[in-house]
Amino acid sequence: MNHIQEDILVEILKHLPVKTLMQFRCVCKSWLRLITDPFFINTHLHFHTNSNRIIFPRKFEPPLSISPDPYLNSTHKLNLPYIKDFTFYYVKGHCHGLLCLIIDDGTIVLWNPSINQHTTLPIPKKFKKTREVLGFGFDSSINDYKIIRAPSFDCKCEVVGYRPCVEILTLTSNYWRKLADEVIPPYFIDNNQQSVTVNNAVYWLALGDVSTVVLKFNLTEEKFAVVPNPPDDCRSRISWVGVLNNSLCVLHSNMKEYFDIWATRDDCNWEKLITVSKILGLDSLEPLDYAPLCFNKDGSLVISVTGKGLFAYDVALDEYTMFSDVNKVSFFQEDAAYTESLVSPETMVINLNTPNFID
Amino acid sequence: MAKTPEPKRTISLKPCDGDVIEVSPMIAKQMQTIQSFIEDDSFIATTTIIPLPNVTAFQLSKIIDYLNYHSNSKAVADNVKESTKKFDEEFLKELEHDKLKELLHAANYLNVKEVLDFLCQAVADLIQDKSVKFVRKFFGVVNDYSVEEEEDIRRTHAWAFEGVEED
Repeated sequence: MNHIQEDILVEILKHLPVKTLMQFRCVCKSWLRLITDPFFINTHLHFHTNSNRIIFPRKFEPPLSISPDPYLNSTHKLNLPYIKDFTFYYVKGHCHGLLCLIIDDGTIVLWNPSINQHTTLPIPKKFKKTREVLGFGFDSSINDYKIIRAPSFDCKCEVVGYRPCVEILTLTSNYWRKLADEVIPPYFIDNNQQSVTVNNAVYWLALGDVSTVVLKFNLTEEKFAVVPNPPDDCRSRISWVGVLNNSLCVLHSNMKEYFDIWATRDDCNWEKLITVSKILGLDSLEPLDYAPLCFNKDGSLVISVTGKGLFAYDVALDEYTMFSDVNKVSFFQEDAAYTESLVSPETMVINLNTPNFID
Repeated sequence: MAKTPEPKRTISLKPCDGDVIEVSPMIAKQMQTIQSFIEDDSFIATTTIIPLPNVTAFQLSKIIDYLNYHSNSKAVADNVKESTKKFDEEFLKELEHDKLKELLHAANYLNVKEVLDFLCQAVADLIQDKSVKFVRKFFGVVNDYSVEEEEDIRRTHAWAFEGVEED
């Protein structure tokens, strides 16, 4: 009785990490078919929502992939043919293990570093790569990924012949579709941070009338909206937006020795998730220096501190433990925790057309 | 709860190679296959013995042991977690590879989710750091790639094989 039914095999294999499954493609043809099957890829993705790695972009150098588990001590250099030494590149967002990058020649790349596959997207017309922001997310109403192009804060500076516009690319269609003229972001988007995505929407920070606000783009309705700020009692401002524990979160701070992380599930009601001390004695009081990345299984919060490195913050003990001294020199906040997934950017168009791919 | 007392409180299960085993309805309910027997109109608790031609007495008692232990230790206290972990380890220790696979089939046949999930995780843990050759042998899979085809996959994903020992 050696033969294992395919449905049991799926239940076994879904537990395995991506790297192991890449090896097991060699076992036999039916295993290869199973591991590259969209239904299995989707099952695996939703079973491993907490299998994170940190993407750490570096100036003039290829990015690093770092395990957020302080005890694993796993760091390796990622290779993407488009990124050579002295190449500028920008990580603009990530979703389901796919990273969306702009290379300095204007190429837009979707890349899954966990399976070492990438694909390029069409370049939008009159694309001013650093003056624009991209948002990247999954629209479960149509089971497709969407990339949105919108003007950034930099568009305030006039460039002759350049008119900012909002366009959207649905991955299976693979062309940029212009949205109606009235669909424009109410505020200019901060292009120093990447877009974040949760629940069929992408979010950025934008410069509002009096302070920083969180700007939302609903991927299904294709409309912008401003998310109300968390209740403020001490003139705090938002310096970071991201997703922790599957909730939209912001870092709320002033120049004090601590910052608060607020979370919302409905883009309206905020709950204070945690208060975190800044690192004392390291003159790092600037809120912009702190980017929470993810929670580890032991409950510690992984925080990237500009100019210092990566830390696991023990919430109960209020203690930082540095586990990587990689140094962020640029003011772009582009390091993020992405999911390790089998989602293939190369075969995406084919995969998404199969009815099995349900979020 | 005021309930009419039932004349017989256990369900009789007959494995393929041994005597009838009596289980409580609470345990039987977790085996979907048994549950559908019980729900059938022709089922009479007092007299019906459910035949299980695909399950051995050893497998059945292992599954019942697991369900018994886990239904009695649902608490979340740390010391309970610790002893549960110990029980699970001991449970697996007694199973050689073939027995583990057979138990997986039995759990699948009886459709008992809790045991099935546990065993799938156990098999995944067992094969995670093993070579492709080991996995083929373990699952009894015949390699249907040509030498060139297999080489090609290994070359394309060479990075995935870094640090993996072949046996």
